[in-house]
Amino acid sequence: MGHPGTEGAGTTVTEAFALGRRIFGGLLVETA
Amino acid sequence: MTLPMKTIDELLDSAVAARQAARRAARDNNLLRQVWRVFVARGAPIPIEVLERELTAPARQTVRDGLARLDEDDLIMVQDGVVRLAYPLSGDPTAFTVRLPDGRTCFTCCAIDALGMAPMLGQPVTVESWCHHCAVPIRVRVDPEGPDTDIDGVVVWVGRRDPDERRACSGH
Repeated sequence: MGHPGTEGAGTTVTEAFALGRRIFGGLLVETA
Repeated sequence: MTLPMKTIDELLDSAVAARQAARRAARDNNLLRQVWRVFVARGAPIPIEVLERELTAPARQTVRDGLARLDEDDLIMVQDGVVRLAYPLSGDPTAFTVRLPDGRTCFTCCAIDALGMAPMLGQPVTVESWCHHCAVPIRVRVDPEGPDTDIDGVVVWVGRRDPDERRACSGH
């Protein structure tokens, strides 16, 4: 059983964060 | 309930990783950064007319042309003259709310996008969602260097997409 209606797999929050950082990290830091 | 668990490297094959790298390079775009700023400030879909008024650098036609290219590259989504999303941000409510330190909130297209907001902005955020199975609320504080450690038991579901499928907010 996974996300409703989708194929895939689970991962940890730490792993998902690492991917999010890889994709978006630093792209809008100047608005901080 | 037991979910199949994988690491990100196990989930992403080399083709997906290469495509992500290309999209990352395409996101290094001044117009897209300005769209993100307006999304963070408004937290809602943005009519193109508003962007033409608020974006200072490019000329009006340049804004329209640039937005059309970003839409074509699936980096934003424009419908009926309104920018509805600019990954990772969604102008429409989703299952993932990101709360900024100053109290502003915005929505993201998925959990990975929400978790990427702190390193994107270089500031801590709080991600709010709920379990898609039991509806228990989930709050995760995320710093630019990583999430709080108090996240035991929280699983992020990564769905499989076809290679040519455009992304879109599913609301989950």
